[in-house]
Amino acid sequence: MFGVLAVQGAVTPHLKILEKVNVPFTTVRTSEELASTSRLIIPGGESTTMLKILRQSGLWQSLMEYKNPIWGICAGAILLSKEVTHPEQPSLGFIETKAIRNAYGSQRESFTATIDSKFKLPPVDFIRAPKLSPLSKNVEVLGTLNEEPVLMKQGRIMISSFHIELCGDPTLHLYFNEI
Amino acid sequence: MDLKIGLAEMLCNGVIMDVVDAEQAKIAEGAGAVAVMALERVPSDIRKEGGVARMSDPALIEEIKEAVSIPVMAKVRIGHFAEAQILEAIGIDFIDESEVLTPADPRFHVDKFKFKTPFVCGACNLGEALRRINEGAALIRTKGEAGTGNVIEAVRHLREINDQIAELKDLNDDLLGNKANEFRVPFELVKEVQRIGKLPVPNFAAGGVATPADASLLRQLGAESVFVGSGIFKSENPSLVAAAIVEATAHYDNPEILLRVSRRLGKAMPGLEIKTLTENFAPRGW
Repeated sequence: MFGVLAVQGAVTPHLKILEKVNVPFTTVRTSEELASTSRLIIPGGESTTMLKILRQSGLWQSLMEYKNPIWGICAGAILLSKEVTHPEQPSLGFIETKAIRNAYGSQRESFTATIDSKFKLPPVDFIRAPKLSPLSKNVEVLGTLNEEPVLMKQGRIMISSFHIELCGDPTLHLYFNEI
Repeated sequence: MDLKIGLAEMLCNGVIMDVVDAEQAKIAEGAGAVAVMALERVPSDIRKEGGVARMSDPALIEEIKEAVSIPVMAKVRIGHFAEAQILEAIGIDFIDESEVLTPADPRFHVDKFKFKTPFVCGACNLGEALRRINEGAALIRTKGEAGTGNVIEAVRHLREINDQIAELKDLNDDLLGNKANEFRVPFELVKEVQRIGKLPVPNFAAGGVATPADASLLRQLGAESVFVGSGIFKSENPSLVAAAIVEATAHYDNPEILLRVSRRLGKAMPGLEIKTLTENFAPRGW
């Protein structure tokens, strides 16, 4: 079962894609729901808000103990990164990357761009996006923009700073489903 | 997708809180707000003090922007595109073209397509929501009655929009055309709403939210997020109430969690009966 963390953020666009490609899915807001999943998406939204809600419930602890693949997008990538700055905040630290929050600026600086990647992706949206960078050689870069990494993977963890889900393209969902 | 609607999508399942200074903004962020609305006076004070309510001092908005890492919104008067230009120059994340401020243009709302900054607008019904979307709004919220702590008008507006969307379901193109005329929007927009069974942009609730239960009620009626104006900082324990409303919004359909967060919050903001108001804000705009 494919889970989408639904405590806050852009949940629906993921559900629409998973529906389109016929992958069984569930939204996750409790530890019980998390336990029923074999992989998880942490969607875009506000990382500070998600952090707060997750830590108030037992879900944070359950996530710490979760051993299945996780894909974090934007806020989700921040929650998964080992190091978070601007400002500093706690994270799950499952991937050896550094996340600089809102590194491109505020909404005025949000943009759409075509990334360099082995995947054929349509132009994607960067919305108040973080900058993500590997802290270790074990992190595999799968996509870049102006030579800066925007999509990467380490073992069972994948992170992206852009919102593929907003264009409805299922390529990365299908790829993540095979990790 | 449109970048403006994209940001609105990111705010879904969250709470946007009115704040009047950097200190309140920090409390809101600490409580888990997805965004703050920077303004000089919360709606209940605008109501009490009267006079013309305008865009806030940009310096105040800049201080608030400096204080937090979450998106910052601010309000402009209906139709006041010059105020909107000033907010865009600040680099505000979202502009609320709001009936809570005194309207500036008796004929037109802001042409929101001219801005890179996304706009949120209030609506009491489907026609009003679609007219705003047709002008470029990336997010719709119910108007409710701001500053009253009384949720009835927000519920009324949310139900009205839901009912009117449901009514489109079985209409043929001729009848949809009549609806488009009635709503004063292009046929394609009404057709799109019929096809997807919802507004083409996220739909949030605002106006009169004072308790975690209010937030849950509106979420259960279909609102994708909740704006809380006076309800937080006019309550006895702002940080407690703020955190409780955030949790209630995320777990809106889980009565056990709603019960836990609703206990011992202290006095909620004092409320107002709608019929005692000297002026209703919702009819402002059209």
